[in-house]
Amino acid sequence: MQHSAMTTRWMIVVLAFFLVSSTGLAQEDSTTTSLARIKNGKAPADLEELRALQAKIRQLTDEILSSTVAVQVGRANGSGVIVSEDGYILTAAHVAGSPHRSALVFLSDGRIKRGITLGMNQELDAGLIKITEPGDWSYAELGDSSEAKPGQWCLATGHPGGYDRDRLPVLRWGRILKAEKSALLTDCTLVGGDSGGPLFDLDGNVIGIHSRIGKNLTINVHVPVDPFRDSWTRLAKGEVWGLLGPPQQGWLGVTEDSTTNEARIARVVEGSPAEFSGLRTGDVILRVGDTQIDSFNDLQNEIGRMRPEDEIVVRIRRDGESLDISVKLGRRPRRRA
Amino acid sequence: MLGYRRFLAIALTAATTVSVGIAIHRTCEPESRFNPLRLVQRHTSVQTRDDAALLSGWLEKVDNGWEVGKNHQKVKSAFSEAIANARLATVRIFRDGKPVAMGTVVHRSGLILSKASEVTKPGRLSCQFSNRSRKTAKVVELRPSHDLALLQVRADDLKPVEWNQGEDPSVGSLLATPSLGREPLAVGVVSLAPQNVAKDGVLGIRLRTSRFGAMIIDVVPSSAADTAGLLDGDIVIEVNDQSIQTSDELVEIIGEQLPGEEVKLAVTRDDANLEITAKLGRRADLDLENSDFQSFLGGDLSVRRTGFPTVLQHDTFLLPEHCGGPIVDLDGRVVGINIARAERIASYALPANEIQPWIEQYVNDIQEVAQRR
Repeated sequence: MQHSAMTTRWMIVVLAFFLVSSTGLAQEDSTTTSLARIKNGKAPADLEELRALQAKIRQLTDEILSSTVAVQVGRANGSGVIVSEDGYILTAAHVAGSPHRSALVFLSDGRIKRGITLGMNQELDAGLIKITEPGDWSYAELGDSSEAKPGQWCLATGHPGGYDRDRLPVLRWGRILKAEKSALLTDCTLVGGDSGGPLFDLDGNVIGIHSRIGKNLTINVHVPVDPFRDSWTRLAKGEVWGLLGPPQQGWLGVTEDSTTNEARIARVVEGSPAEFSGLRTGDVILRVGDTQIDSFNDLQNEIGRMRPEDEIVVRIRRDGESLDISVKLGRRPRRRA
Repeated sequence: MLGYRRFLAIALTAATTVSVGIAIHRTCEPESRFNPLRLVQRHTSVQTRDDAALLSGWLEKVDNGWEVGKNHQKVKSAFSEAIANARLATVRIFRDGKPVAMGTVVHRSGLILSKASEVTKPGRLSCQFSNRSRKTAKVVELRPSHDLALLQVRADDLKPVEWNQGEDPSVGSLLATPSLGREPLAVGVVSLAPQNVAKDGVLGIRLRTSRFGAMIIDVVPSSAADTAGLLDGDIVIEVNDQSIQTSDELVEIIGEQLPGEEVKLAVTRDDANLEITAKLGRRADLDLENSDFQSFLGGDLSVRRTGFPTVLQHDTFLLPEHCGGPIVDLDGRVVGINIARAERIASYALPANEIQPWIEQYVNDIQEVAQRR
């Protein structure tokens, strides 16, 4: 509910902006050749430039699909990209899970090879896998993610929904919306199973690795490739560093009672902020701060928006009575393999 | 000021879903490119009230307005020439005044093709044409296997689409989905070669073949099977009056039904025979932690989005009410019609060669009947 109110407010702000700025549209310089202009992140000006862009995409398609792989580590199904002749594979840290685990690698030509997980930078969600069987592999070159900038055209491949041997990796097309050192944001849509798959620039070089998505179609987040290159030795040695998911979410420490639609607590985790503040099994959470909570899902969303150390007031129903309880959120304990 | 915005980001493994919250801070770049005011702006010119309603819904649902996004107005306007002919044969279909689908003019005599499941619900249908005129319409023919419907409007001089006669566009080809205006609704790329999409109805049970037949060993809570009252230990002996010996046979028959369809099961439980009717569910609804849940992030999906003999998968951002209209390649060829918003990452188009023979057949049949009179 809060969300839609916010959208309305945004629309108002945006419309005002539209009125004042619509006269200020600058014409783009069209003196450079079409493909160079497009590679530079410009919008194609006409059909001819679109054709140049399409020809480039079609030309790259086969090679980028052939370096894209699916990986399976334990229960996790994700994607990856081979980046060296001897079979190093970039993937997401949350696909690899932890170092020195055995992995299955599904090549786009249908072959299945064994591999092993190596190091990971959990803060950025960067992971490395190596194929352990002998052979030489089609691989993609690493690009330069520091040069990535908004508007730049890119291609994404991966195995959405998990590996399907009757299907090649799935191609998507889009632009970089925002480039930071720790993350690239694009409108190449991703979904579960794509994690670890590659984002390519128009030279066919890997510039990012798929990591996570948000609610909007335009929130697709990729790990930039430079940090992989910069910490290659550590990754190849199997080192693990960083915390997953920067910055951290707040943690309450209660589990869901799935027999009801309400946000009823099934169990209070030992040593959690919920326990310290006196929440108990059977309590039904009605509000967090000013936000009404109708389901456990609401609760997760609300707590997920907060940070460790945030202090909140939780209204609960216990034995038919309402109670307000204040809680200082904590940090979810790290699970180590 | 809007200092920064936060959103829930969801990690992308297929089997395990880890939710992590990340915040994208407004950066300290001298001229910040992440000005929130620029996120949504400068869309296609708003020409009618209907357009305005559609576009504002569009903005809210898909956040398509990045200054540098692939659907930015500058990019879309480069496609104007490619859609110039097809848009004249594109209509928007309203049911009781609400936009429910797009449509494709397929014959000068007022025949319009659209997505059956969106236009066959009760209500008064009307079509709006690229010149903004409106005509009432009625459904005259259905093709359930492809979820196609033919609508008739009173007209004898419509300009039909010219179907692509050549090969389907290859993976990597750019596509545009026309609206009624000069610029396309949205653009995308061919993601996969044409493929079959299974119907994918599910009961939500695990089975094994026992010496008595197909025995249920597990029922997923809240699934179709659970709702219908199936229990562990039940032996399914018949489906839709067809006898079943093994669990594979049952799985095969169920998989040939669409989600939402009803199946009649004959079941043996404790030596008694029961008849149970179950309304099939969707594989996606069985496990909220899998990728199908993530697929809903980013807007509504078509209700009918499985069970097509052949589709061309592309990555154009569409909403369910954008299906039914033509989709064109850079040469302006109408390569098919959009038939489903299928996933966060996928929209489906039925290729022209799946559609054209059926329409020709219909037109011939009608003309024969007319001649006999």
